[in-house]
Formats: sequence, structure tokens, C-alpha cells
Amino acid sequence: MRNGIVLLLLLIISLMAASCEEDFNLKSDYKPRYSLNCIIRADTSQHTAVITRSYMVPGFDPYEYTDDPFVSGADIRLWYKDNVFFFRDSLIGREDTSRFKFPQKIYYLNDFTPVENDFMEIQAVLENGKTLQATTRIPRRIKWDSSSTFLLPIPGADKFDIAWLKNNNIGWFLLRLQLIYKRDGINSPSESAILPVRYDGDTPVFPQPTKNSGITFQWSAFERTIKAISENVQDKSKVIIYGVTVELLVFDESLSKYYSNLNGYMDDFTIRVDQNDFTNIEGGLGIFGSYIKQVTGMKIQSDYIHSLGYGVPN
Amino acid sequence: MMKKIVFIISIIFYFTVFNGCEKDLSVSPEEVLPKKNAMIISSNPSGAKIYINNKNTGQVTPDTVFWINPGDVLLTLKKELFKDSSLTVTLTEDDTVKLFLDYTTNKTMLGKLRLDSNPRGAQIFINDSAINKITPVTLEGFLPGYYRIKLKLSEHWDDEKLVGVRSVVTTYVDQQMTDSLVWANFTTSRVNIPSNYLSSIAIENGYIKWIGSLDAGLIRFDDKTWTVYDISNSIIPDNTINSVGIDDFGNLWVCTNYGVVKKSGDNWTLYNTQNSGLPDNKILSVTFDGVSTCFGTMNKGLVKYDGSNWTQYTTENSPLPSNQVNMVLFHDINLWACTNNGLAKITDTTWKIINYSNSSNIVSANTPGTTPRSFGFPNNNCKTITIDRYGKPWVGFGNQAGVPGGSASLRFANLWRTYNEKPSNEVFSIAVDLDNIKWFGSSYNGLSKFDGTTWTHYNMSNSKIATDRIYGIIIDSNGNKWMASFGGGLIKYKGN
Repeated sequence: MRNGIVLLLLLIISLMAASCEEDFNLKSDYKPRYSLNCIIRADTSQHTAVITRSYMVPGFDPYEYTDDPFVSGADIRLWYKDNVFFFRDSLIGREDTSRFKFPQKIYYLNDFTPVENDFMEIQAVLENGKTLQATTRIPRRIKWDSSSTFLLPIPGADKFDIAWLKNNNIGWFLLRLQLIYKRDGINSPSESAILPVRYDGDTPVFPQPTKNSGITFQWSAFERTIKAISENVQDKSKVIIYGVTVELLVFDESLSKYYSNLNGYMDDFTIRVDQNDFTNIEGGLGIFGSYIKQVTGMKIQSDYIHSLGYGVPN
Repeated sequence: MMKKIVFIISIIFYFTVFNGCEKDLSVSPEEVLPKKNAMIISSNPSGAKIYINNKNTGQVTPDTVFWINPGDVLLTLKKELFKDSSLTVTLTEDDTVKLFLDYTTNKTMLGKLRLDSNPRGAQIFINDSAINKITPVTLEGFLPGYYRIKLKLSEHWDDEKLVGVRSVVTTYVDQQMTDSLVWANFTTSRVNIPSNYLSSIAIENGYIKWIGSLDAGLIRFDDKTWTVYDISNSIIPDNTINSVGIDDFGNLWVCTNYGVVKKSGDNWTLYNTQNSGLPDNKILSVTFDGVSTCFGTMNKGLVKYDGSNWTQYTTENSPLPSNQVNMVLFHDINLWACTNNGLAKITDTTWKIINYSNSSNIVSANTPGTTPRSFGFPNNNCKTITIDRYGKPWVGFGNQAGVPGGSASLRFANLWRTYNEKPSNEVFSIAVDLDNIKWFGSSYNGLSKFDGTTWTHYNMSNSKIATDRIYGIIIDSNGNKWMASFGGGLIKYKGN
């Protein structure tokens, strides 16, 4: 009897040890997911959209995957004031061919210029019937705040502000100041240098997307930048300073939420949704948003330019 | 005791076996892709916008709409001028439905067209076909669409317009017919004239009109046919014609900014600074005295050409008050030159300069913002001159330095009477008819008539004149006033 009990206990222990054994795999079954990215700009009539699908890699390094994740054959339509615009597909050159060796495929829409505060809806129907859709409203233009500095330098000041009047409390902005100059006389090509807000040691800190209504620049950062453009220039008098362009991107609600979520860096054309789970696409991933770019100019006093040994346009 | 142990172990075994591997696993639900339903939609006529559930698909008939969810689907077709058509279609899974809408057989789609004219009784043509009806009339059973409606009425200009007829409603056309016996407007929309922007006009043999245009070259009109001579089919060097003139031998002279062209029968000759004694290619006007041809230039004064010699008169070598000579006119033994600095009268070798300062012995002044003076030139910006039946010169003036222009005529001796009755300021052309009535074309105020005591003004608000901007006037042998206008083409006025 005791032997029977011992055997029974051994059986139970064996069952407990072996019955739940299974192969555990970090990868689940592959189910394709689709991402639509389209940013409408109110300052251009040409727009692009990209649809990609998720993919499975042999190991765990996504860079092992070098096939094209672009989804062709989608029917992408944009609704705007009861008008419907159709995107077409095309190829463009790819600058970085280290991973993908083939040209970049895109969907494009020409001859469409939306107006501020207008509503738009996008819908992409894939070849398998999968639908991705989203909406956006073009943001309103802002007005520059009178506290902004549009003439440099300010005597005795160690900083200057660029400020604007917000239309609402949810919008985010990205400001960029570019110093425009020519390095080798009037016939040389125009060049530009982006002005940092300040320097951390030798590291320039550039403006980040913000929900604030202004950004303060350190005058020392400006001076460092304007002096740096003549490094390795033998004749500084040939450097011609034209001024500073002030460029402000005003984001719509979707992009603002994205930046609020991500608070990361973005340039004019790139959106890195894979860094974050944010999406406003119904039925998939990605972002459909819009922004307005507003540009104005900032002058630099010629006396100051001459004091640096530079020239001004005639 | 042993039995209890066995019982407890059995219970543990039971739960171990049946529950030991139970686990909660959270997984996303399997995504259900839509069914490939399709609606194949066509219509007659085609081109109707397709709306699915009140949303514009951006597609027009005939086309196929895919990926519509099963169930009741509201299909709406919208076509311009037609009544919207809606129907509900029930789709099952993987369903393909064919739909066809024939607008032409649906009587509720048809519209009405009410045609009227003033005066009434005009014949009606629809898309160039006579329908043997006259205005007023109401036509029913029209398929919505655009129709070219032409009305023809005796002694009136044909009138044609594109009319959109809508479903259900009555479309009204009430056309004011233009009397061709009094006012006739020859515009690009009515006749084959190549431009509505004209600068000048001359008449050959009493009826052939030679018209200078500002953008389409030289135009010939013989009351039936329009012929165009421009840089593509003639030696005319520019399609902008400053003025035209016909000399005593029937030669046509065409003044441009690139020289002057003489048309003698079928022979064309271009005179410019390169091949002649012309000192300036910008020729503003031309006049003839049977022996000489005289040109007014933009920058180089006055030029006389006697067939072999070119003689130039400028501010440097003569009393000419300005080298910009807007108009020249030979009359009897006098040559008149209108400049932007006064009027020159040249008799043989004697020059007389008449200007703001010496054209009146009655002291009065014209200053901007004050009441214009009644005697003396209104300013020095002389634009045009003509001589009336009694030999009295009439001069037209443009505005100058804020002082309005107008017209002036010589009373006696050195006293000029100024007529600046509005709206005849900025007088660009003057013609005199057989009854010595003066007709004035102004740059913004239409046509004005002066019979010696009363001024009458004709403009767009009180007449059928096509525009208020008259640049040139000439009167034919029948007393018809022909006007070269800016924007209104060639205008004929038969009234007295």
C-alpha cells in the first residue's frame, strides 16, 4: 500500500513537471499590420503618403529584413469639401541604400492646396479590402507676438525671444532659425546655418517641438554660430550675411498629440512612428496629420555684421 | 487513515491533471477582412457622381465601387443640372450588383425653358436648329443640360447664349435684343473681329474700315468680311498699332512702336530707323497734305517726309515744345502738332506755340481740386485735334498733374474756350459731322456730342454703347459714327 502511495506521488510529480511543458517563443504568429503615414502641408500643393506592412524577420534584428515593406495597389482617397482626390503611386530615389537597395515607393497627390482650418479625411483601401482611415483639420495660422525680436543684436541683451500667439492650448510648434549667408562673395552659393537655442559645452541645443508660445535664444549661441561660419575662410570680408529666416511649423491636433506623446525630434519630412505606439489611423497604425509652415525674416544690423569683418548685400 | 490519504492524493491528482496547465492567454481577436462586394454602376448619360451612404466616392458613372459592407446601402447619383437619384440596395456577402440609371426615360427628370425677349417675336434656335417658334414661349420636356439658345429678330443683333436647363424647375431666359440700326457693337463674341482692344480707325472709299488694334494687328472691315493683318501674315512689325491713316492717294499708313508701314495696293513697305530717315521707331500718328507725310513720334519730335527727304523737328532745332508728339494734323496751310507740353501750329516756316499760359487773356487758373477754368487750355497735355466745318480747331486734352483734361476750341484771336463739362474729361478723339456737330470720345466716359449749345453724353448706363472707353472716332459718308474702343471692340452709332 505504501509502495502504491509512493508510486502515485511520483506519478503526480512527473505529471506536474512534464504536463505543462511547452516551447515558449517570443514571436507570436505573424499577422500583418498596416501603417499609413501622410502629412498634409498647407504651404505646398504636392503631398505624399506611404503605406507599409509589418514583417517577420528570421532573428530578432529588424534590420535583417531587406524586402520592401511598401504596400502597393492601395486605393487612397482624400475628401476635402465634398471633393475627392485620388493619390497615385510613383517611385523616388532613396538616399540611404544601406538597407533597402531599391527606390522608395510612394503615393503622391499633386495640385491640392488646402486652406487653414479646413477639414480633411483620408481613406486607404488595400487590395485585400483592409481599410485605413483618419481625419485632420489644417491648423490656423498664428500671429507673431510683438515681443518677438526681428532685429539683431539687441544692445546689452544676452538673449532674444521669438514668440507667437497660440490659437488654442493643444497645438504644438517647431521653430527653426536659419542664418543665411554666402561664404565666398556674391556669386557663391547661398548657405545656411541653423541657430541653436544655446550650447551645452560644445554641443548645440536646437529648438524642439514645443507647446509653448515662444522660444528664447541665447545671444552667445547666435554669436558662436555666426562666427563659426567663417572658420577656414581666409578672406572674411567675402562672407556676406543676408539675415535670418524664422520658420515655424504649426501642427494640427493629431501631430500635436503625437509630439506630446513622443516629444522627439522631427524634420520637415520624416515621421518616426515606429518609435512610439501613437497612431490616429483607424484600422491600422501611422499618422495622418497636417501642418502650416509660416516664414518670416529677421534682420541683422549691418554695423554688427561689419564688426565681425563680414559684408552685407549691396 | 490510509484510505483518507489515498482519497486526498486522488483529489490532488484530479486537479493537477485537469487544471494544472490551464492558463489565461490574452490574444488579439482574429481580424475579419471585409468581403469583396461590388456595385457596378452606370447611367445614361454617363458622368454622374457616385455617392455611397451619402459619401462622395470620387467616382463617376460608369464605374465599379468595391469593398462595400454587406447590408442596406444607400446609393445616390448626382449629376449637374439633374435631380439627385437615390435608392437602397441590399448587399449580401461577396455580392456583385449591377445598377443602371436611365435619366432620359424618367419624366420627372425633365425641365422647362421659358424664352422671352424685348422686343418680342424673335425666332428661336436651339443648338443651331430652328424650332419654328418665336418669343415668348415656354418649352417643356427638356432633358437637363446646356443648350445654345440663339434669338433672331429683324433689325436687331442675333443674340446667343449658353443656357443650363435643370430638372423639374423652369429656367427663364429674358433677352434684351440690341437694335442694330442705332447702336452696333462688333465684339469678339459676336463677330470675327480678332480683338476688343482697339486704338484707332480710318475709312477708305467711304466704307472700308481700317482699324488698329492694341494686341491683334491691323483689321480690315468692309461691312461683311473681317481681315486681319498681323506679324504672322504681313510685314507689320508689331501687333500693337498706335494709329492708322489714309493719304490722298489711298495709301494706308500703319504706325507702330517698331516703325511705320505703308500699304499701297498689295505692296507693303516698312520704314524704320534702320532703313530710312525716321529718327524714332515709336510712331504715334501720321498726317498728309498731298505733298508731304508727317509723323509724330514718341521721343524724337516731328518728322516730315516728302517722298525722298526726311526732316526732323525737335525741341533742339525748333520751337516744338516737346519731343513727344501725340498727334499731327495737316489742315489747309497749317500743320498742327499736339504734344504733352502744348500745341504747335506751323505755317510754312512760322511756328506758334499755344499752351496753358498763353491760350487765354482772361486771368484764371486750373489747379487740382478747384473748379476748372472756362477759358484757356485746361492743361498742356494735348492728345488730339480736329478742325470743324468753319475752320475752328478743337483740341482734346488728357489729365495732367492732377488737372483734368477736357476739350477746347478757339473762340477768336488767342482766346480758347474750355469745355470741361463732365463726363467728357480726358478726350482722346474728336470728329465733326456734316452738320458741324462735334463728337468726343473719352477714355472713361463714353461718347459725347456738342451741337454748339448742348452737350449730350452716351455711356453704358444710358445707351447700348459697349464700353465707356473710346479711343478713336471717325464718321463715314452716311454719317455713321465708328468708334475704336478699349474693351468694347468696334462700335457703330447711327444716331444723330
